[in-house]
Amino acid sequence: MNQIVTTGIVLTRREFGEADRLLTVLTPDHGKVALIAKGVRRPKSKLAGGIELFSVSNITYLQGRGAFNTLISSRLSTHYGQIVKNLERTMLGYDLLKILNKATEDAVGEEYFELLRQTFIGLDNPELDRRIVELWFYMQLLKLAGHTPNLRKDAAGNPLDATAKYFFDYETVAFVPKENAEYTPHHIKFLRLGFSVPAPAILGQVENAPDLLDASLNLVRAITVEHIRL
Amino acid sequence: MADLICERTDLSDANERLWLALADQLKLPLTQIARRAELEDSKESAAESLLNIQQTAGLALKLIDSYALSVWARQTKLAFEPVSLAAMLRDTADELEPLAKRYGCRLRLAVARKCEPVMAHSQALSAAFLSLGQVFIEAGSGEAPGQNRVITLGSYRSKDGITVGVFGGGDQLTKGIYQRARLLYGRARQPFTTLTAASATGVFVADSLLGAMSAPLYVASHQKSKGLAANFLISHQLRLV
Amino acid sequence: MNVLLVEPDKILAGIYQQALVGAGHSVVWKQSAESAVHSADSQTPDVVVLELQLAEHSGVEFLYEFRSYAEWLEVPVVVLSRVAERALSGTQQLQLGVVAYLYKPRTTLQNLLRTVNQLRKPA
Repeated sequence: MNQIVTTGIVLTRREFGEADRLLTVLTPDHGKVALIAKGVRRPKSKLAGGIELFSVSNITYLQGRGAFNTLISSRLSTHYGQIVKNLERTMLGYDLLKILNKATEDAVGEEYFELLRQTFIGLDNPELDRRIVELWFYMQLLKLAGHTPNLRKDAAGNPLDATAKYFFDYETVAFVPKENAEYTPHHIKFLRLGFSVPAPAILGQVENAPDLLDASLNLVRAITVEHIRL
Repeated sequence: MADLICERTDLSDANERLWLALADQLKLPLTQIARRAELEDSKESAAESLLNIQQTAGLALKLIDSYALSVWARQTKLAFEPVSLAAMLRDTADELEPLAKRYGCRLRLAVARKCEPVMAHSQALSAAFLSLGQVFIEAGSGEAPGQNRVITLGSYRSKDGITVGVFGGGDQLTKGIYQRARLLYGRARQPFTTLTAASATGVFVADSLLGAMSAPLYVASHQKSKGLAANFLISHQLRLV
Repeated sequence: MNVLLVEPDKILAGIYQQALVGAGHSVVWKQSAESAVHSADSQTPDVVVLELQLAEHSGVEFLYEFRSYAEWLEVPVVVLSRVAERALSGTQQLQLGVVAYLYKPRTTLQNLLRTVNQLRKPA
């Protein structure tokens, strides 16, 4: 059997038999792997460190013949401990883990690992509004899934006007000009930035980000629900 | 009012954040009073219940006063006078004793013999260590009697002057944790998860008061016990008196 | 019923414990998420009364851990917290098996007992 040494982020944990746990771990080089952590159901191991949620861990596992592999060792590399200090961030963290798990197949690339890692870094920063992190996460997920909305041209194929207002057509995933509509050129610039930056903190530096956040988040969430099976 | 302490990254004003943390902190003593008053078949006598309520309310009021003093101290230059740390710690221990007893903690005084008076604002100093002591006591109680910590109020000579602090915060209290907690106060519900489940307003009120006397809190160890302490320079003028 | 009370404050825990015992329940009090999980390992509770704001691991982390074990999936959890209800959405409460969310400063002992008593299974 092959022994694999890599890093991983735990997506899910559940019991497996009497004494073991089954972990779904996202790695940068082997996609999502199902790992059996043996003997960790004993009381002393519960909620213990070693392979915690909201962490990047160094892991070694044995590749199994079937769907499951066996975890041999794990050591915490980085623990994003500030996330659990805030209930809303904890809940958001759990929700985003669940979403990423549902939105991905097993053989995913390194970019998904990096997405999650940057999301943790963002949530771990109490100075950064968690909604910015959430917005950026959805944007990157859409981008990776090939569902980036058209932020250059409207539904009719005309370049977006820097003075016009728009509503969003979810079918064509594009903006449609309309007087007194919700989305302004500021929203569109904000969205363009969010889809292009490698980390949420950059989006957080936009001066009027709080004013643009709610509408942008609603838009991006709605596109995600519409186009990514969750 | 502040029945929701939610994440407020837009609260740039330190006073606002501390005010919200104070409001959150006050929920505990007020809930204790309200629930205790409801207990019909209490094991305590009526007199004991009333005394407990009085003590709980008293400490909550002191926390409000300490907060107000810390806001005032930030805006006003404090007038200093010679303060005996030994006397201050003794008085603080006396005030905290009933709370320590209710939480099943043991209070200990460890004051070095040769600790000269220091120049400080007497009221702010007392308020700071009362707040700090309260936090440590509430955090120090365990589920079983054997788990309760010994909380030490101590002062000793150090190379930097005279160090005075509250110790018994557990091995997990580190410089890094405290520094991160300082960034989080008023922003997170639990900036100090290793010390207490509460908002730890008492720590930050203490830090604010001591900071106004140029003696901010830091993590220190004393007699194998970790805690939070402040340094005061020895006044050579006082030594001559 | 066997109640697992997860409450960080000793004084409040004593008050809640007294009220619950007075109503005929047996109570195990634990201060932290970790000790609460250990306790549930030794004796599965009939109901958990849980403060979300705990030292070290939060009540939310406790809930996620608790719900990852099949034998505890059906144990009702009553959140009794100093954190206002808006911290957990309705969907999140449903996902975590929270049967009632009681805001501690405004929840009388009567309300708590009424909520817990309603969870009694018929004989």
